[in-house]
Amino acid sequence: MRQRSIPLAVVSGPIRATNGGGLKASDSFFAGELWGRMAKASVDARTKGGFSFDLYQRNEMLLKKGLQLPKFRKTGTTIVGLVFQDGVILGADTRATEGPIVADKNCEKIHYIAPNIYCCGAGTAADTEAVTDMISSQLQLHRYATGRESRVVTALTLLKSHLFGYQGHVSAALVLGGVDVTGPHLHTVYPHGSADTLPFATMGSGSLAAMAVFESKFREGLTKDEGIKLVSEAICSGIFNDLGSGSNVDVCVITKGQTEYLRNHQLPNPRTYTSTRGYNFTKGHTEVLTTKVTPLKSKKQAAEVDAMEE
Amino acid sequence: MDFDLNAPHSMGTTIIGVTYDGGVVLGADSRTSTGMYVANRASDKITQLTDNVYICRSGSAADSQVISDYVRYFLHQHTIQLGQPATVKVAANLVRLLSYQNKNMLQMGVIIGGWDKYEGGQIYSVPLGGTILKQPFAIGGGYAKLDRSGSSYLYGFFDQAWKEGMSKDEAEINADGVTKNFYSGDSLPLWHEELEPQNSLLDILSSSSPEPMNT
Repeated sequence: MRQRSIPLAVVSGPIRATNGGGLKASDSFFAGELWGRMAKASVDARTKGGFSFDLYQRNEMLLKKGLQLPKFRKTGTTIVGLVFQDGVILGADTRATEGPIVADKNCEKIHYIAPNIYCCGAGTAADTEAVTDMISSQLQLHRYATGRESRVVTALTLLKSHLFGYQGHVSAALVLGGVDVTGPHLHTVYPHGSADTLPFATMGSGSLAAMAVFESKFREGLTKDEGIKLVSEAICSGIFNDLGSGSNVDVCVITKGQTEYLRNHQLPNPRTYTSTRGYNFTKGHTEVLTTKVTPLKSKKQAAEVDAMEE
Repeated sequence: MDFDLNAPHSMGTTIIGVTYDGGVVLGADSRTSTGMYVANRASDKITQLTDNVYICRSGSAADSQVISDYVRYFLHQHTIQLGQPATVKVAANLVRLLSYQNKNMLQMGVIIGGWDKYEGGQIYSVPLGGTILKQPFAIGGGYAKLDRSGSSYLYGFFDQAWKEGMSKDEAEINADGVTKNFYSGDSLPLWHEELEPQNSLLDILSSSSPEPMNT
C-alpha cells in the first residue's frame, strides 16, 4: 500500500486581510493536497461578504486625529447556564446597551439553535444574533441530511470553528446548552474560539456577580424548581450589581424531549410611576405658526389592456 | 470594569511531564484565566490525541484546542494508514510542524507525552516558537514569556528530586508537586473523575503479527 504523506503548507507573511471570506483557519494552515479541496472551496466563496481590512490605515490615522468611533450596541450582560438532574437550564437578563444608554429594555438573549439546543449570547448584539442564526440554519440542513436530532457538540464545533477563523473579531461570548441522545451538555464559547465544558457557567459583564451566587449555592442533581430558582437568583444578582445588565429575567429549561422557554420569568424592575394625567396632548396645547397644504398627485389609472388570448 | 472580559483566554499554566520506568506521568493545573479573572477553574488541560499519546496544553486556550483537534484528526488517519498505533515521535512532530509553520499566529506551549513499543515512554516539549525537544522530564511547556506560570519554582524542585528510572509512585509525587507545594489551598469542591481503563489500540500489539505491511 502506498504511504500517503501529509503535506503541510508553509505560511508566508502576516495574516492576509484581503480575504473576502474573513480569516479562515483552513486558508492559512493548509494549502497542500490534503486540504486542497477545502481551500479551493473557500477560495471560490471568498468574493462574498466578510471583513475587509483595506481601510485599517485610514482608520488608525483618523483615530490619531481625534475622531470618536461610533459605539456599537453591546449586550452588557449576565448570562448563565447550569446542568440539573433532568437536563439544562439557561438564564439571561434583558438589557441591551449602547455605551451608557439602554437601547432595549426587554431584548431576547436566549437564542434558538435547535428544538433541543438553546444558546445565550453576550458581547456585540449583532454578532451573537448573526452567529447563532447561522449555526441554527446549518444545523437544520444537517438534520435534513442525517434524519436525526442535532447534537450539542455539533453546534459547539460549528461555533468554535467560525469564531476561531475570525480570530476574535466576531465578539460573541456564548453559553450553549442542550439535551441530546448522549445526555445534557453545557458549554461556554469565547470570542477567540476556545470552549469549556462545565456543570455551571456564567458569561458577560455580570458574570462575576452571577458566579458568586453559583459558587455558593450550586450542587449536583438539583431538581427543576431548585434549578430555576438558583438561575433566577444568579441573574438577579447580575441585574442589581452590574450596570450593564438589568430589567427582567429570562429562563429556558431544556430536558429530554421537551423545552420550556420562560420569557420574562421574573420582572424585578416594574415601572412603578406612571403619570395619572396621561401623556395625550390634546388640540390647542401646541401653537400653530404656519400651515401649508400640498395635495399628493393621484396615480394615473393603468390603461385598459385586453386579456391575453391564445 | 476592572477586568477586561474580552481579553483572549490564556492558560498561565503549570504543566509537567515525567518519564518513568514503563511509561509517562502527565500533570497540569486546572485554571483558565482572562486577564485577572478566572474563567474556568476546572479546565482539563491534558487532552487525548490517541489511545497512547496525550498532550498538556498551555498558552492561548483557543489556539491549543484547535491544534490538538487538527493533530488528533491527522493521527487518526495516520493510524488507519499505518495499521498500528502511532508513535509518540510522530504525534509530537505533527504538533511541531503546525506550531512552527504558523508561529506568527499561534501562541501556545505544549508537552506531548505517551508510550509506544519502539521507544517506550517519551516526553516531548514544543514551546512557543515551534522547537521540538525530547526530554526525560519537562515543565511548563516553555510558556515563560508572560511569566505567569508556576514552572520556574519547579526547576529547583526537579533538579533535586528527579532521577533516572523512577517507579510510577515516585514519578506521581513529582507531578503532585504542582498541587501540593505551589498551589494555594483550595477548599472549593473539585470534580474528581477517575476514568475507567479503556480498550486501547495498544492491545493489538500483543495479538497480531509484529510487522503490519508486506508487499
